[in-house]
Amino acid sequence: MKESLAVETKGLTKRFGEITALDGLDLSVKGGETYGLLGPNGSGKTTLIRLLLGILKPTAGEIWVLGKKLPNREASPYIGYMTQAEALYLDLTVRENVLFFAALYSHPSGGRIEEVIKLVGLSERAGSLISTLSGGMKRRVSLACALVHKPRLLLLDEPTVGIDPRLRATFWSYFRELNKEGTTIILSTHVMDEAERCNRLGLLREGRLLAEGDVEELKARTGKATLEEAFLYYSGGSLEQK
Amino acid sequence: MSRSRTLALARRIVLQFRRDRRTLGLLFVVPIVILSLLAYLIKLEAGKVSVGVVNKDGGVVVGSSGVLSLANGLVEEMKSGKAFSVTELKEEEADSWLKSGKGKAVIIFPEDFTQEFRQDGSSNIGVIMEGSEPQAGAAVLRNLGQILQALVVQLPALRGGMVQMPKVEPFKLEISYIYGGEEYDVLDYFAPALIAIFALFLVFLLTVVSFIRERTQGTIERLVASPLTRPEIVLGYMLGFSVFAFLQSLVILLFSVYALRIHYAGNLFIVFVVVLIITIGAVNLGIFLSAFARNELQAVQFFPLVILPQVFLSGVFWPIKNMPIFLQWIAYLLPLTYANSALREVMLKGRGLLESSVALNILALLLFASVFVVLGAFTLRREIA
Repeated sequence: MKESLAVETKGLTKRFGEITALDGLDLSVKGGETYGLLGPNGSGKTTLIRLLLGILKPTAGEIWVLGKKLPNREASPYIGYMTQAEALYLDLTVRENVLFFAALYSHPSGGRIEEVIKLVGLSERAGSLISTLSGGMKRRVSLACALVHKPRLLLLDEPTVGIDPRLRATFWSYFRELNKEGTTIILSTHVMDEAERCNRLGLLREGRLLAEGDVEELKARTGKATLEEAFLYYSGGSLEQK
Repeated sequence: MSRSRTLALARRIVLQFRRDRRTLGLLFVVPIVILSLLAYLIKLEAGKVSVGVVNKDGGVVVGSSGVLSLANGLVEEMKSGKAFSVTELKEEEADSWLKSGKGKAVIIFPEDFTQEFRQDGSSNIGVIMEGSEPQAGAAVLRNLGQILQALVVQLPALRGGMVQMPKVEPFKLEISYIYGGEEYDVLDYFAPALIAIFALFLVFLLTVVSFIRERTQGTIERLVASPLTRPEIVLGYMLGFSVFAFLQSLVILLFSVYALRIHYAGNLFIVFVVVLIITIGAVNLGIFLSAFARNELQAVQFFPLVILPQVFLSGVFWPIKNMPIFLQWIAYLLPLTYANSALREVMLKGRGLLESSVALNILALLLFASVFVVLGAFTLRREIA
């Protein structure tokens, strides 16, 4: 693979019994960009993320993450992962959760933990149990846990679903900061407004990549005014259209 | 109140549970299994207690008809009755015979047994109790008492007046103990088993519940995405719960020794080693079984299945040797059987870690633990694939 690529897949296919979740996906994500996987529910976004993490094994095809060919786990210390649900220990405090995930990545420095808690604006609640936090706060803790070890690649599964616009804006300012530091971000979404903020987009439907490019490119190619229309144009047409 | 809404709700519940085979099993199969087990065990004949007999009785010469020995009569009585299986021994063999676990007691009739009785109307019988199983000891004394009682009733008729009319207490039992003593009671016998039961099931319960939480909260997803390896997950869980198991067995031991005043002969360090091994097995059994439950309720449904048979069949209440053969087979497939046996050997008999009766049980426990480790790791693998 080329040096500048953070993630590359070739002919990536994943079947669960009869169901084909991903069908011969060729994807390449450049280092330091934010790449959005845009697609409706069930289009294979989460499956793709889980394959990149090495949690799932592909039925066919190849995956390179940060220069390592999977299923090699050498890349896993440099990947941060924020799941769709909060995935936190409800009976632990904010600090204890962050500390636990930091320790899994051998990054248990106290300074970094307070830093990342401060980054998501929860310094005052650091000693609170997760079960006492609001939904938005839990999302922020979840992001903090994914960031604490300064990953080079951040995989975010629908990171801003169910959070208010202000917090969404805050999250995006973190993502921009991370991009500047060289962190590659891959996120899945089915919200157009969110997709518009990504450097590049992959339109995913029924396990296939319908189109790829930045927002303006996609609009120009389809001759549509909005991304939503562009997306509908692709998904309305036959699957072979690309 | 709407009848149709109520009925709709009731119908929905019936529909839901009709499809839930686990709950159906819990409701209908488990009680039948448990009740059958109980019925079997409670009706169980106590079985013959194995005792040794040392008969040194010289008897008394009675007229021309020869020698009369009361002890011979008693031994015959014991052999023909249902209560005992009798092995005749020499006096010097008695100790090692008991220590090898072949019997629960040795009964010794002294040389002048009949002679004494003829002169004084009273005679001594020596009883050496193995002592580690208070129920068996009690059964020996009870059955021996019945045989002696019957003899006393028959005596006047026996050889008309050859012997004196018996006194109020015609036979005096001089009881000595190999392990423990009279002070060993049923509680002492149960305490080691309780330690094993609590260690096994508390740790099992905690593991199952927390693993299911990992799943329902989605944190397992983060764990498997992290550099954490499967052996690390298993080991980490094991260590975490070992802390609780240690504290728990410490509390149980201290409470039993100082509050309940149980008697124990063994080394508490060995007790801890055994508890640790039980914990390892329990954690992995928990990880394994949690793969078959999606939520806490389903996990709770495992408990009657995993716990009750072990409590009934592992020799906690009923000696395994008295069970029907097929239940014995099941008993030997249960880890608690070996845990109980190891802890009893240590606590009641004061056996050491390397003595075969302890070491073999520990070996069996280690074997179970390693099977469960493999099964546990296998279900974690399934998690990932």
